[in-house]
Amino acid sequence: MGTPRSHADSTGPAGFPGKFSGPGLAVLLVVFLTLALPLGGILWAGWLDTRSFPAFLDRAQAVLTRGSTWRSTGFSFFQAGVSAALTLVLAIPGSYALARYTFKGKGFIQALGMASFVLPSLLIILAVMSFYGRAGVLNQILGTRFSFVYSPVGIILAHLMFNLAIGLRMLTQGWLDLDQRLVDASRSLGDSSLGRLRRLALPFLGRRMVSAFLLIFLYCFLSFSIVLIFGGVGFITLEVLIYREMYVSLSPAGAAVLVLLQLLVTGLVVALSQFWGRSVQRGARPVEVKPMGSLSFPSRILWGLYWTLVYLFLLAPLGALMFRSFWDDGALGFAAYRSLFLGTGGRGTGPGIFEVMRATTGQVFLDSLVLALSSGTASVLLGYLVARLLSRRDFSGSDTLFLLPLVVSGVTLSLGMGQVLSSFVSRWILIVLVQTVMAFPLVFRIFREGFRSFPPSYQEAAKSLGAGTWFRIRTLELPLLWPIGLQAFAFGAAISLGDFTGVYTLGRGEVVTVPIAMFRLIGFQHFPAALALGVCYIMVTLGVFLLIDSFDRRKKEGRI
Amino acid sequence: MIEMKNVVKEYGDFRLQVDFSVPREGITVLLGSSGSGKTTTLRMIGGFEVPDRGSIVLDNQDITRVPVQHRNIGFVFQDYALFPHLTVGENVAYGLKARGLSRARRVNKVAQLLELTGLAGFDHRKITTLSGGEQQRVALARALAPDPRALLLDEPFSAVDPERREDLGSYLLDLQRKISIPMVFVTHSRQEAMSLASTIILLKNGRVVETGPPSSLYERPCRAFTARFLGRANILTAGQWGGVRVELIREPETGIGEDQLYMIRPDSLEVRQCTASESFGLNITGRTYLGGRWEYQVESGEQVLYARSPEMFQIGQSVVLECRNREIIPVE
Repeated sequence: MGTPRSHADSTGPAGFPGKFSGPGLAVLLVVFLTLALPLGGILWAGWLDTRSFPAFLDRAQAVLTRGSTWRSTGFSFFQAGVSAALTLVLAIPGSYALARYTFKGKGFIQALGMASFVLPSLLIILAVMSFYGRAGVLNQILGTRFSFVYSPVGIILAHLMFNLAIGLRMLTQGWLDLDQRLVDASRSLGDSSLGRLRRLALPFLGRRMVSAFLLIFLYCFLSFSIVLIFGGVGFITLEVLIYREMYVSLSPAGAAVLVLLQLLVTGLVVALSQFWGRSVQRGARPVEVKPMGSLSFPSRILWGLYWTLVYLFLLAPLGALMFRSFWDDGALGFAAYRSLFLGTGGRGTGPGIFEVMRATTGQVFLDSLVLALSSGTASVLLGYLVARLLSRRDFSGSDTLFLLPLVVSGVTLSLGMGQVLSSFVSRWILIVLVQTVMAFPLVFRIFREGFRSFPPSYQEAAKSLGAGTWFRIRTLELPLLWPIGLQAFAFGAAISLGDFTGVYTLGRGEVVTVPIAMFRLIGFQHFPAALALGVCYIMVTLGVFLLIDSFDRRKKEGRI
Repeated sequence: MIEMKNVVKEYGDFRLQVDFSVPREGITVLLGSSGSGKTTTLRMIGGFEVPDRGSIVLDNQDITRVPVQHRNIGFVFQDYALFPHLTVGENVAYGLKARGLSRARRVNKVAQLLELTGLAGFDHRKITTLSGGEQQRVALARALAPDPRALLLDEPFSAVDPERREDLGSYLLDLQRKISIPMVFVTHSRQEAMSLASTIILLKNGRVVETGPPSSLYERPCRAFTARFLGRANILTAGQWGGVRVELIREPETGIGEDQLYMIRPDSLEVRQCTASESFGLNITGRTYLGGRWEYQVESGEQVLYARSPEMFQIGQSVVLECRNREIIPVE
């Protein structure tokens, strides 16, 4: 008989050490770290700023009646809405092809879906500048000098680059959810291909599209560095305004009010995305996958054009970034790399590269790697702990738990944590904590899937053989979840390596990581050195992933 | 001996309430269809589920609240739950290591158990290279390694080919005789239950319907449910005898009432051709070859009976069914 896995594990004699129920403890931990601590910190700072409730209300009224607040809110909605809509428009045909056909380059485009999670926004910014900027490759090819990068167009372009792979990934899953049996039934009833698309596929995909739109909207709504750099002072979103309110206007109470306003929007978006996402069918028989070569010639030409455009759109800016890092006054060379590693190349009497970065390049990489190592490890510990606690009961709310950190923006998280903990811990630990929370959704999901594929009977068998909790962890969970842990660590570390918001907000000049150094180099117009740093970053990240991958492979082959 | 004393477990609308004991000798089989509560019962003995009420006693020790890892009860899972990252030897030694036995003692014990289970020389084999039957024996060896006080088996043969099941069953019976500890075997297969059990505990909707040796439950069940669950059974009420003329039939006793149920196994009904003087209106409406004999579906009006015979009769043929009085069993 199929019995619910529950009571003995949570309340019975076989439970985890301690008296708390596992899922309850996990939910408490996640809510505390992702919501209570940052929001509490911001509100506490706001309270300290005004010292009385009426004064806080007055400040709230002032902020909420200010034109800039609503202009920023409106712009946040505008840029996020347009970015998300364009992403989906571009992703719909591609996702159809990914779900229905096999073709060359399919694996690469699917791998890009995960890369989006770990690519630092500063790298995307640099890539967009290299390609679309005034002195960018596009202008050089066209022989023009136009530039739209420092405008909403630049923001939307960068968001498109950042989210297209995610959009493709989400919509592909939507097409895959369409049951082949429904397609067969529609065919047998005599519906045409176009009719099937209109009457079956699109209504079916509709929910997935809304869910994807909302999630991408959320990413763009909370985007920080892209808007900070491309928006300048003219185009400010709520996220940037919160930062400015805290550090430029020095008004924690104003920042707290804006955080609450932002939370209202993000909470609503997450709730809506949950509502729409819930109705998606599970367990469908996947649709048939055909080779693209079996299509008619015109169809293949059209698909070829589409994928060429997508590849160009995604890879040309990155290619331009690499190319321009080697381009020095009309010839290829290593000048940018020399100046980056030797600290030379200051503009006239201006500060040198190391002065601009406020650290040597070696120090920048060392700091980045130390942080990545610490945050990756902390992410693994948190993700493992929460997933383990939740694995002991079929907890239906784990998807919501995964979305919870998305409600709170990177700036809110960093500012809030900073307000509460800066007196007790160093900036470094604070940054590690923030990056751990940032990486939590992804790392948790990796571990959750790992635990889901871990049959409960393994644990029960071990218990029946007399194994205690720690013995089981040591002899069963760690050896079996090792590859999962490695993967989780890689993503946790990569998110840390690419994090700009946390380090920028909390480091306050003392902690210089690669994205911060890139930001400073861009700010001081040391563009070639910034590009060279970007290329070095790609190499380091790639190196970390390859190292982990080879370690994982050797482990699987039993050579370690 | 395992004693389940008024054990109650509730899941929403489902309520399991059992009271039985498992002797040290022989194999006790918990039999029932899906949802009858047999696995929950086994998991309570194992310690994976905690009863809401009642107590579980093992060799005069109340183990109701004893944690799984301290019960020392071996458990063989339906999917074996062999640890894929460990070799055969390491799997078998797992429980010994958890108990802190020295390496030398572990090696010795593993060798003994692999010998006992017919897997000598398999120590270093990977689990994934084993057949279903071999995996099943590794699971048994692993469960037996810490010298358990009882052994619980949750449908352990369900993933094994039907041909291998008989061998494994004989092997298990042989093992039981050697180690002599209480063994509880869960299955929904009546054939498996009949061939393995010294005692069958039949469950239905969370209650014990009947308990007893297989032959007794099959031949002289107290309940119609037991009769039907353990094989083809003709169940008739006293009032239904009027339409069917069966020779030598035990007439319904006066005072019992027409609702009294009777059970006759198809093997107890002999089929013979009607003579010219007999016209009971019993016709063969269907037949199935069972190998060496036939099972016939015999109808008279709305009444359907099943009877078996080595002789071949034709569909539509009129027949007479005969039965000995002692094979007509009153059931509830």
